[in-house]
Amino acid sequence: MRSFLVQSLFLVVTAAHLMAAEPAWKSKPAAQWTEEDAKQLLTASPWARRVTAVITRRLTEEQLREGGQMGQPRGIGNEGVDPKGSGPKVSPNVFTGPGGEDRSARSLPQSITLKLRWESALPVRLAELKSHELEPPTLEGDGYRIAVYGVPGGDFKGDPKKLGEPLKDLAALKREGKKDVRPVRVEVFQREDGLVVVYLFPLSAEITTKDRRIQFEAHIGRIVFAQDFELSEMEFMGKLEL
Amino acid sequence: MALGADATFAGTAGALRGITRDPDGQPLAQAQVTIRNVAEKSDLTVVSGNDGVFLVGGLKAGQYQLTAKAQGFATASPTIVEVTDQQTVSVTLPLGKMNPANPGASETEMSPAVAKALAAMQKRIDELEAELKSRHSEVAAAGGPANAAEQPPRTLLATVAKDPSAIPIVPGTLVRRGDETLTASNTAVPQSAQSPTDPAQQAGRAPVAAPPTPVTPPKSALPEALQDPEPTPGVDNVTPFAYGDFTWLNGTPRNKDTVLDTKFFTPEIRFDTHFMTDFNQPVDHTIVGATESFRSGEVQVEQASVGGDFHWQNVRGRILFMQGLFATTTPRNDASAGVGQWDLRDAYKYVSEAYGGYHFNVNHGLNVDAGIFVSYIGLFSYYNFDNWTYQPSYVSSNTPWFFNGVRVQWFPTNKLKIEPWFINGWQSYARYNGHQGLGGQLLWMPKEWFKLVANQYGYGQDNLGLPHTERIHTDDSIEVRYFNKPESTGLSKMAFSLTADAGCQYGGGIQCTGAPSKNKSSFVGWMLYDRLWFHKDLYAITFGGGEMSNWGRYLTLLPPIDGADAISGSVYFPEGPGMRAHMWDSTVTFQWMPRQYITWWIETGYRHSDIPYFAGRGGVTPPGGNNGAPQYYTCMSGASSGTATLSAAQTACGGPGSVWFPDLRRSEAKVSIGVMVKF
Repeated sequence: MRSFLVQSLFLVVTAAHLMAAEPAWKSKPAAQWTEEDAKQLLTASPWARRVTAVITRRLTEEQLREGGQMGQPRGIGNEGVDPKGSGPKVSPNVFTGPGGEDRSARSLPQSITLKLRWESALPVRLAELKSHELEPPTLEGDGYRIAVYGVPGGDFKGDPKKLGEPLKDLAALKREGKKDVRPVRVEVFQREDGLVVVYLFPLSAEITTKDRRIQFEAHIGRIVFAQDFELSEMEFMGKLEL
Repeated sequence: MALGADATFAGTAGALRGITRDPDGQPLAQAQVTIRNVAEKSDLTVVSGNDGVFLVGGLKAGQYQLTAKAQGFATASPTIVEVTDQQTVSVTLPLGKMNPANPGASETEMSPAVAKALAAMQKRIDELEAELKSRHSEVAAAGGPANAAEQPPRTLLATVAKDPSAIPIVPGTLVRRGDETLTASNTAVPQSAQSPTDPAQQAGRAPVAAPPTPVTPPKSALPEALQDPEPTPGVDNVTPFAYGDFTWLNGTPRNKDTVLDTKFFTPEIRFDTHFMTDFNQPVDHTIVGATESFRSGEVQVEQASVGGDFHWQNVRGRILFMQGLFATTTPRNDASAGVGQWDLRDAYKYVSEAYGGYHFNVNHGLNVDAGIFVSYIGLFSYYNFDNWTYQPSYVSSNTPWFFNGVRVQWFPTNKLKIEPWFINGWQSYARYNGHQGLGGQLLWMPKEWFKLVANQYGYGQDNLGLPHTERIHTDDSIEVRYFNKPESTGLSKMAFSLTADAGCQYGGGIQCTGAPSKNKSSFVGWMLYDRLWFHKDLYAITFGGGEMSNWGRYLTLLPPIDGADAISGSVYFPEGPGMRAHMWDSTVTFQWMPRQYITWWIETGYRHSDIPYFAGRGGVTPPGGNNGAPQYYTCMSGASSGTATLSAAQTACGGPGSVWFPDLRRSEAKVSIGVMVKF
């Protein structure tokens, strides 16, 4: 009897573990996803990843000039990325000071967490519908769409395409042994919780599971990040979904 | 409008069970509910009971549109439900408050923006349904898993329709910037989208979107790659030289912050004050032979500059005004102002930089600037705050501080700058003769700890009165930071700089090589500095020096004897082809840098020349002061002899011993102390 109980308990625990280990997008049809399932797919899944990006240090005017620039760069990822109070503080006492450590927080690189999502992937679109997102970042035209959520800074006025134009040359999908794929278009959208930058990569890139891994790398102004995606994990209903 | 629903079995046909509610969420009696079969376009009307409840059975499976209205309440927006066989769908129909300004309109009535959004939502649903259906077919054809293949069509819509907040617009959802209709839709939040227990709603306040709840799935449920992302080792690889911190470099300000900054203008302010003591103790307090040291035994303001960078979009301009000793000591070394009219020295003496230009987005940047800009021939910056020492060696002190002309800065990569110049001449406001000068800089900083800069110059005819003599020059430096431990309270950094220069003049009877008697005119020089930083870069000490050999003395700074300058020349220190000047120097500099904007410093240095050159005790000023004719010998009385021939001057002044001579020495030692500020 005791042996039976132990075996039963083992089976239950194993089953529970197996069920817990199998995410909803693998174990359930889309129609049976709960809102929690959808949110999980949109935040932590093979198609949606958090990435700790770096906000590069704010350069001084001399450093900018030495690099051929003048004035702080403007636009998405440049304005509004430094936290309030991170600027320099001048002490009236010039006889004491920390020497080389006399620098503001914004003169050093900072980290920020962004969310990346393959918006064109079918499971992502299903999950967005399920989780009540009225209008996911959409771009005209077919292609692989990757959205970057959580970019700080707001109140950017203008056409999303124009706002995104400067970012086009600063992003790429990278695969081993193949040429980098550049986006054909980038758009910037406004959300209450930050900006969303959406990249449209051409289908001609022909990404397949044989590529095994793909890296999305981008500069959004002073925000820099690179994130790997395992293509073998990005299958949905037996097909690579990007 | 939202609906709440659950489903239970209810015979063979479908059923609807609902409740109408007033704006406060209380059951609303006697509300008229119209139930329309969307497919058949047939209507059925029922009235809710005293408890607000209504029940309709025997409904065919399909989509139904429900609309509720009641006296004194605004008509609610239609609600779509999916009725399936053997199920009872529950629905809540809240009615809105009547708008007093427009009794015909509801506060919750669907705005065009909402309608547009709903239409978009419907389109999305349809597209996804079609895609899912297609996928199911593919999977089924491929013999895929039955549970996936057996999904009935429109399952997704059913799922969505059962969800209470599937259709309404939720504040904070995505809108395109500039699409004001959709932006405005954030305010048209149906009350039913909020939970009845929403405190904001209960308090009568405008509903506020709750921030999305982060979903943190159990760690074990996620692949390892999805857990705890590591920070990206990101650097700015776009902006030239931004990938590293180069504030340690000689000739570069160490500021890590810009205190004052605006979108259009970034101001710059510099103050440089010092006290120098020349151990030769010249009676006229004059220090000669440098472009940094001018007066002995006095507190002097060497530089007081204000200005800054103007920038808007890709248009740029920079101006830095210059007051203090620099305003007179720099222009006096330029003889080009002696060509033609208009007082160019006066025109430029209060300006150290003034140029405008345009930045093109080519490669990593391409600039075209025109005006007067600083030269980095000789490694050190014109501005002492930026340098490791106050008094650099001859190779830096005697080479140009500015150029007047046009420069192009091209950054093919973020680690390389190629900068050609088209300039009036070698540190000249004007063009001396027939040729402008051509030159350029190549700056390569492949690593944070290494800098290579190579400046080349040629073609210019940079001698007053020598129209056929051209000058060439090469100036090449490396800087290496060979130790870096910025957090150390002991030794925190070590670096050195090495500069080598060579050049000559040729043409018009002058030649680069050969015997001095053949009018040799050449320059060879070097300088080496080593710097040690301590206590997290709070203190630094720099040792160094250099040497130059300058045949023809064309780069030897003319001592200001009797007020002589580059135009007048001096009979006491002739400069001409074949004349030798060989000098060396060394300095030890201690800098205390408690804040990034200020440097307190003390320096001692020794300079040597193989010809009498430095001011001695007697000084370089004639008795009674300058007489206005530095090109002639001066009599002991202080008057000009009116001649540049010594024998004639002796005759004019009253015999041998009646001619005044400056007190020039072969060496000079001095100690200096000062403070420099830069914002």
